[in-house]
Amino acid sequence: MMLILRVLPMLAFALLIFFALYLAGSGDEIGPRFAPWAPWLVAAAGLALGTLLGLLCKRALALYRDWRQAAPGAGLRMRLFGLLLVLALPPWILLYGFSLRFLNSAIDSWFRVEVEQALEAARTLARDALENDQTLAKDRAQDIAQDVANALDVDAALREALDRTRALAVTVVDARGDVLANASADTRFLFPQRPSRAELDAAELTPTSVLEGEGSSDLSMRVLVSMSGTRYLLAQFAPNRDWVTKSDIIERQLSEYSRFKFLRGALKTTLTLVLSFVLLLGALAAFYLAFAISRRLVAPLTELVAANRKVAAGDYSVRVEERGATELALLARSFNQMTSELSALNAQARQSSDQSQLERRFLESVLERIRSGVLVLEGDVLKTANVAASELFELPISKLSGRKLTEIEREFPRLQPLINALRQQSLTEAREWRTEIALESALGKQMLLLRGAKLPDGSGQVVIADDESDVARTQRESAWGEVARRLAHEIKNPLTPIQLAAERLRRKYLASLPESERDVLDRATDTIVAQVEALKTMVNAFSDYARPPQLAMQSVAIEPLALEVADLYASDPQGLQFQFDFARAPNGKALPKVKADSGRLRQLLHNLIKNAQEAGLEARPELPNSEPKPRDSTQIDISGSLSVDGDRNWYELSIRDYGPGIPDALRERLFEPYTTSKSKGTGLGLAIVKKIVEEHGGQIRAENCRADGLITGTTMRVRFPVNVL
Amino acid sequence: MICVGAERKQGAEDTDVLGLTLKFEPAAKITEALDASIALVFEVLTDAQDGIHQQRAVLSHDSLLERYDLEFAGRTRHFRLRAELFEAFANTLVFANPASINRMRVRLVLGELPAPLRMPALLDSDWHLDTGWCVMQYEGGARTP
Repeated sequence: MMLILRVLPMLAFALLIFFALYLAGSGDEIGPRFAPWAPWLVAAAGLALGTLLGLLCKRALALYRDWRQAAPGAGLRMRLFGLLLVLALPPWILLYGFSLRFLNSAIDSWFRVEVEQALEAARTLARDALENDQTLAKDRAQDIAQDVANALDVDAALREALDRTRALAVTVVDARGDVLANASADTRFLFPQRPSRAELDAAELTPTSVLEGEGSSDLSMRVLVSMSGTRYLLAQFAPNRDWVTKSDIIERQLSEYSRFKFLRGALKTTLTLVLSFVLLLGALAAFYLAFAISRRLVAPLTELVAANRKVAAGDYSVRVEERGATELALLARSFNQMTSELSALNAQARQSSDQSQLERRFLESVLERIRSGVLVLEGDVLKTANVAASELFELPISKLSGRKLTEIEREFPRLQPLINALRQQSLTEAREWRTEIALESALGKQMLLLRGAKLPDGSGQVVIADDESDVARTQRESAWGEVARRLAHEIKNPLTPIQLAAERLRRKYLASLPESERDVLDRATDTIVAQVEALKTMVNAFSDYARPPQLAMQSVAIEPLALEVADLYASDPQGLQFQFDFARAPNGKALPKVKADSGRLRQLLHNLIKNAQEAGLEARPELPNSEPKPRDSTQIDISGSLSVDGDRNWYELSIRDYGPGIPDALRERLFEPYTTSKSKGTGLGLAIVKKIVEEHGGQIRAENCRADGLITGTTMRVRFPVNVL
Repeated sequence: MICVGAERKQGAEDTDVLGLTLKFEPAAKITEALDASIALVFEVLTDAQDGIHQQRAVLSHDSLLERYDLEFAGRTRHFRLRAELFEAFANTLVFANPASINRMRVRLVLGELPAPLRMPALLDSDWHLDTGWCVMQYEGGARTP
């Protein structure tokens, strides 16, 4: 297609030039040869002209469109094109106007009246001379006719006349034109042409003379004379050769003049057409050249502009061809040098960026694997934090990146101790600092150790937070475990001998003592035995707490186990009421089993139900002791459900009582030994529960239930991991 | 210029020929051209069974001898008056073997005109003297257009 568009104008130009040559042809060269094709040639020229004009319009429109769309180089091309046209068109118009005028005046000057008059006069003279010649011929013919009419021997008279008058031929014809006698000195007239009736009739009136022949070289005068009304003399004379030649020249010149005079209008039209056509061709060529030159001149600049845009878009690999004028080549070379340097700089920058990214990713990776929470602050703005920090503060801290501490404090008031610590430390001059804070969390109070260091450039600080709650708790639990183990070992052994000794004393001396003292001994030994039993119970509890886990893990269904344990309490004289609510799995079946030691789970349920039972019996702090217990104080709600936390599934068991709730003072140490708000009990129940839960990889937390701002009981939530939903 | 008719005639040496009759009434500018010694060259085409044949008929004026000439089929005839020339041209086109001729056509050859006249003649319908193809129809032993 591009090739056709390139070749088409050239073909059109070639055809139009040929057509112009045809129009301007003199009639000797191109004209006759292509005469039969004239209409086709005109049609082809029209088509070529239309094609050329169409292509020019297309280019002009494309240039205008480019200019409107601010295409690279379009403005410059438009100006160059206009400049070239301004330079080319005025001379063209001037030349056209003057040529037309000159053409018309030149053609008109050929046909001057004087010339025509002179030619006409010459023709008249030549014709007069020929007529004189003819008049002489008529006179001679009449003389011959008279001689022949009087002669006895017509043939002899004709021959004598032939010699005397230098006639070419003399013939006597009758009234029908038939030859009666003939004498000829020229072979052309051996058989003379019969005169027609009209000629004979004309000759009857007066002698007639006619020039005849095929050309000026063989002209003869044919004279017809009436002799007596029944005979005619037909004589052929040679005209004066000199007069004939001159007359022929004059006639031919006059004929040529008449021909040119007739053609004057056509000549003007044709030459005007040729001139207009050739100049139009010139104008079209000028248009085409203007297009081509403007495009060629602007091409390097257009290329440079396009390349510049690519560079602006980030493509530094672009190069331009170093061609054209010296200045443009220099510009192109400078551009290429610039892009090379930019490319190198960009490569270096990219390499540095990649390196920086790698280091950043490495740092992020390290931070992600640190168990401690890491916060990076810039002034009072939280720049970033790791996953451990999110878990530690139970917040989507990564989403809080870039926010000010005041905003975070406003949105999460419980973080106030943390925010205060950070603010306070940012004001100090110390490069490193360390402090402890306590935060409220869903699992109770959280003890955090904060360690901070200011960045070398002083723009911010890095803070590392560690949860110390577990450490302290573990330490306490470990200490209690040791105490329990020693108690079990040191106290449990002497208890049985004490109990046996007390019973022996009773048996041996009860019967031998007087009635008044027997009662004393009886009460004393009973007290000893009862207290030993109580001590045994306490020691066994400590023993349970201190006993290292030896679990027989198996799949255990919690729901039937809970029902079974609850049944033991249902017959309690204090009248416990249980409310069960075990959810179904998504497939409609019972909740999945958990991997657990059923004995330890049974103990866990015992402890929790017993704890709830005792809590229900406790008076609510806000209610006077004298007030009757609410009806629901003996109610215990047991429910089970599945929950999803992160990517783990849990079996969640809840046991709710309607007691007074957990005092705030006990919340932090609720699951530690000897922590109890009840008047009875060892304070080991919940500690053992927590121990069992942790042995099974589970979690436990206690929540106070509230209604209308009042505490209406406690819910112990225990959850165990399950693998199958 | 149109074909008016065709007639079977007795030609020289008792041969059977077809004489074509034209209606030839050229515009004034054409007669003026003829009087200005511009020859009018006509192309005479006959579409016969053995192919298309081409002949020329030339009408001209000789100012020296004050006569009009008609040249056709190798023979030249002279006329004193232009009307005689036109009449002769309209009736003088004869062709041998009339039964084999299917179509005939007579047209002025613009390319034979003087160069300055060609383009104006091409653009002027008065100069387009062309009978078009006259189809001969066989009627009673002769073909007529």
